[in-house]
Amino acid sequence: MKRKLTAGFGCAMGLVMLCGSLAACGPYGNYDYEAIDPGTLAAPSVEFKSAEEDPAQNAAYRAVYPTMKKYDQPVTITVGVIQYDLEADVKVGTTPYNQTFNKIAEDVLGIKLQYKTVAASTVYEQKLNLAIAANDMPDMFFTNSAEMFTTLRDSDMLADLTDAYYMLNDNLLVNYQEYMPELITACMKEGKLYALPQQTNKYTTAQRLYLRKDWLEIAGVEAPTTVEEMIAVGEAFLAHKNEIAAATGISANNVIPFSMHKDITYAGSYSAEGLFNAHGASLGSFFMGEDGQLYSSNTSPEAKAAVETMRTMYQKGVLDAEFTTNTAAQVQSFVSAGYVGMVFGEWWLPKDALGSAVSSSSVKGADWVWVDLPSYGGKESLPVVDAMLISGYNLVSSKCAHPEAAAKLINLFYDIYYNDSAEQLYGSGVLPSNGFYYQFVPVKIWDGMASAEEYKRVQSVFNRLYKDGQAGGLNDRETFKDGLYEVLTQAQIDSFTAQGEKIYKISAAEKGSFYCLKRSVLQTIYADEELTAAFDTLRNREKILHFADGYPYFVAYKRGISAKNMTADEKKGWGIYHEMIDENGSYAYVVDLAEGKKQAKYDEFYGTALSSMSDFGDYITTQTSTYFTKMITGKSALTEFTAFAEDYNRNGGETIVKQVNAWYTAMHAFD
Amino acid sequence: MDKIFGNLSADEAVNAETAEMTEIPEKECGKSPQTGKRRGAWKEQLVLHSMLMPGVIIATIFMIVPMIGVIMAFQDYNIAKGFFNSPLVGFKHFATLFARPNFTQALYNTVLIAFAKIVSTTVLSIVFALLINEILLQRVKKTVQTIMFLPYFLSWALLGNIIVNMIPTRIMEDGQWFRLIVVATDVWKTLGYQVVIYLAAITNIDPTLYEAAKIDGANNTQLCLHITLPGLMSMIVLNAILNIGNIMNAGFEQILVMYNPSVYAEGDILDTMSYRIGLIDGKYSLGTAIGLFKSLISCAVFSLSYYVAYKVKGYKIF
Amino acid sequence: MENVKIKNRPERERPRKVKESKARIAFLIVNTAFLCLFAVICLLPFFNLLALSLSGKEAADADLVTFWPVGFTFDAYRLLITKVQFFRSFGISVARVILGTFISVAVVTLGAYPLSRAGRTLRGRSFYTVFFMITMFFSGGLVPTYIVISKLGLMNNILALVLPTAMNAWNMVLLINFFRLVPKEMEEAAKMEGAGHYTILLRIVIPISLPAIATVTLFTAVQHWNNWFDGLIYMNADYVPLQSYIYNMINEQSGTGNNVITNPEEAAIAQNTTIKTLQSAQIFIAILPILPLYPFAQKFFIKGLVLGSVKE
Repeated sequence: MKRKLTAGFGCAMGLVMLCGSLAACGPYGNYDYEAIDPGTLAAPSVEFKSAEEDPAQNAAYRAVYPTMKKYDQPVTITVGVIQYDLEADVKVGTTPYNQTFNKIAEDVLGIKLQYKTVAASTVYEQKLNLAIAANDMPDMFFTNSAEMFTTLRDSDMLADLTDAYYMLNDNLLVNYQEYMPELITACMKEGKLYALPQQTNKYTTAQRLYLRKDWLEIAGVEAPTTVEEMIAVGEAFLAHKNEIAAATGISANNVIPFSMHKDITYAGSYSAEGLFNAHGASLGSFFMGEDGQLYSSNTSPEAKAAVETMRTMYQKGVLDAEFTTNTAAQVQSFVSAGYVGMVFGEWWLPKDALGSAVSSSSVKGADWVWVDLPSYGGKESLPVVDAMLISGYNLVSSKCAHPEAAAKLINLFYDIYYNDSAEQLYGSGVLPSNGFYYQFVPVKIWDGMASAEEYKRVQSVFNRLYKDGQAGGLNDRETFKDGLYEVLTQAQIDSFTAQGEKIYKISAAEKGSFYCLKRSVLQTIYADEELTAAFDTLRNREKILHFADGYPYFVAYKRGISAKNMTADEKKGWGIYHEMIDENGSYAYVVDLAEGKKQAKYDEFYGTALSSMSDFGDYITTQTSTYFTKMITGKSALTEFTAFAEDYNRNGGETIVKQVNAWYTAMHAFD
Repeated sequence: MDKIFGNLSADEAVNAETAEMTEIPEKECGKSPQTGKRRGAWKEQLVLHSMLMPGVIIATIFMIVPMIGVIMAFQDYNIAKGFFNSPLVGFKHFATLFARPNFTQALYNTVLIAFAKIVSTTVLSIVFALLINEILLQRVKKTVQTIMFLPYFLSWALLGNIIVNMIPTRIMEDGQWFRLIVVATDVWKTLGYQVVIYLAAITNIDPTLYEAAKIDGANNTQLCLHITLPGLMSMIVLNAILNIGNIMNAGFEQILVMYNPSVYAEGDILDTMSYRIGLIDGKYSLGTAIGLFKSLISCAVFSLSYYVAYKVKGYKIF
Repeated sequence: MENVKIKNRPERERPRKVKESKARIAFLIVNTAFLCLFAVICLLPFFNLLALSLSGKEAADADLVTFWPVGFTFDAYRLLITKVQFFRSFGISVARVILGTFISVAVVTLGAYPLSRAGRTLRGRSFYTVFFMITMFFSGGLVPTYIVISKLGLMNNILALVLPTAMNAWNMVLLINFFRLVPKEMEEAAKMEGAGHYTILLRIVIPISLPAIATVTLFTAVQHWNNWFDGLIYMNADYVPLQSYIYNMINEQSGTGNNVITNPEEAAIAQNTTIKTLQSAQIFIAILPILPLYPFAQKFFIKGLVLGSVKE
């Protein structure tokens, strides 16, 4: 139950403000401290085998559980959806109401979508909650809120989705069954399935330490492998702050050796989570003790050790003296501005702030390196991840007459989004430039394993295109140094297409014209069979996201040019390259963890807040923050930790741990 | 709620002619005077009541009817069952609330901060009004007044950020300083608004009083103490009564954007607590209980101060 | 309306010919200087906002901007005007302010009149008093209010933003007190001529209390302009008012690393803007319309309070 900083924060604030005198919020909380019995899911009437494994058996199975059978009579389904801002490649003016997906769903599945709850992401959950309270819930919708799911489930407001689950397409079913069976268990109660959970790779939350490579060189130190070394690196940064300032063009006062944000009980990037993990702790997590009982990490000696380390870092000036007022967004902007030497975070930092620092025109020569968590006390440190991670739930109201429609819609979305021949299958309506926007599809499941595949595929495609810098490869830096975009008018596009040329529209430019992949480059590719074969292994979206943005950097990088000597267009690709394309990129870590090449430590409690947590969680979290922050900043002695642990246990901590253990027993009763 | 002010110069407020709501005996109203004007009187009543109807209807639909929701504070509210079928649990949520280790602290903080805000805003706005009144250059006077009003239009979400960035972290981390900053910045934000009200009231004081006093040889300080201040009294009392209704509102938005983990103990107020319980931890019933508790206290304090002001001085606002 | 003219009493004349003492002059100078300084302090956040909105990305991200733009650029504003939603929301806010203010002021004025009449004129006065006082302190909270609005079919309807706050008891209290100050003689005279209550309200009370009504109007308008939460809850995302839109913009977190700006043109502008400068620009634009209203209304404001001394 690690907390993440989300936008919910702000809208929550508004909610209380509006109802000023009567803040009525959050419908949740059952008071018996017992856990839910998940039961076992009824087996499908025909055994499932994927088409790859056993085509005949699959055909028999699909005769009973078809993926996308059209309704004879059109059925109307009311839905809720978050109205995100349009991304640049989506047709201007697209809304949930007029998106092309609606028409495709009606034509292909005979499902008429009616939009009931449409809201910005900041208030979507609140609006849903209100609609639920007003007995006006849409038939189908997606929510990130585990609390909403459990409340609805326990109030018998959700439909049984067992059949819908068996109707999901092969890829999704295989993912669930092979990689994440615990997701399905977590959505069950007494043998019935109440949600189609989002597939998420739980290792994406693993923490690593990111360091400024150029600073390390200036300070003459190596990347740290232990916590002690890490502190020493910080001190070295501090000692060399004038040299760092001179070399990178920032002010010496702005040199921050290590930064993190103020909410130390929150996980996520730019937080203290990585440091806690390095010591074997993770606030809000529950680990398996040697006695076979789960214990809370907050009061563990490991947490105390982490606090002690932070206290030392704070005293030495290594930890940003102003961390107590820094929000995550502020730390992010400090990193972007090139002020920060070390920061903990998840895999996506390179394309985030790290890349901004590299491509910034006001920071000279920024470069980064990342390492696994530094060890502490001679013990290897492991990143802490949830034993199970559900990032969202597709739900169907018990009033809905066609719960299986959810599976059909999910399959349709999968077909459009992950299938290269979607345009042939469903027409040009599947193109974003014609009004298809993946964010507006009301129910969907992302392929939880797609990123890992994509990561490997893009890597190999780039290498094949580059051909080791040999002749015949796509490797002349001159061709790419101004980026891969050119502007074409619709008329031009039409005429080129008529001549059989393939054009990749990236996004709309001035009236009637579009940014497209450079034709000259495409012509070079399509003139060569080998290159064509490699290039077409990329999916449409990858061609645009990775190739267009990352390839120019890749070429310059392979040519041995360092980032600081690259053109602005090349530098832009630094983040995406070192995140998803480079074989040592930051995403490699996630893949290694998933494949078991690296180890992680598991937070054994997952799922929704237990009743004791909603009763006491507020106080305990507040106390943890207060005590810890004061100990770190030296406002109170380290011995206060004992007082904290007592306070914690006395005021609900003990009850929570007890209930978590009861929950654990119930969840694993069927193992 | 501080946007309320009335204009009762002392003599008019005490004017016995005006309505005395607390003293109208309902019985008397019920009795129709047996006069020849009876039909006319009935018609007049119809006209007057018809004027009140739009307000009454809107308030009934959008404010009174939703008050059914208060019942949540006494239920284990379940969204599926709704207001009518959720199990009643009596005062359980209030008991839970009072038993919470940080409730007393939050209550204390709330009252302390709110009280400090009310007192300092009142005192300072009177002082500033008097000072501004002393500016001789009309243009400067107007400009100062107008500019001081501007912060009133900014939201805390924005202002809070600016302030947190401006004030050194180690000060924001100190609980005592934190409270002080919360009060000071709030006073600064609302000051201009209050000043304008008092300034207007000063302009309203009969100039002949000053002239007479001057002839008697009074100096500026004496004029201020013996004419201006007494002339402002009714306004001050009115404002005080209205503000006292805010005794449970210590400024939720402001504190939420300004506080940090080091000052949770000193900065946590009922609203922020209810925000965390209600929204982060998700409990309708407990959140409602906090809200109801706040409303009841505010209403009681307000009624009491109103009653006292009316009994002692005859001031009234309704 | 012509028969009632508000006489603007000339500013109180100070006897300037009297020689002020030295201490007094010193006080006046220090006082004026101090107050001017204070006024400047009040302006600082506005300067900060404006400076930030006109600054470049790096300076803004690095918190280098205080009261003067660093790396001066209009990019934030340029990016802003490309946003269709911003202008639509702006329009909805304007519509809401006009409609909402009109309805609210009308309701409150109508209601304040009978309550301002002398003791026995209105029967059941204490009922109304208690009724309205309850609304000042208690509310049902969000969920029940939402249910009412949704059952009335007002979802995604501008009336949902306008009606629930239309009856404001605090404003009513204000007007009641003003209405009481209308000279009795004028009403008596009108009554003699056979005027009914509506006529008295329209012809005498309102014109005389115009300044007070202007004050209430100003505050209702500011409130409607600044409210953002109800817009988020009752309107669909396309039709939220401006402040709700700004709220969404500030609080929506992008940057989980998965969305890149792929439009190079937008990227070019965006490169020199950051969420901070963009937000500042939007907030600055959002407070602009309300600012010029104030000095204008202030005139009425003062007049409204001066009124007490109009004695024929």
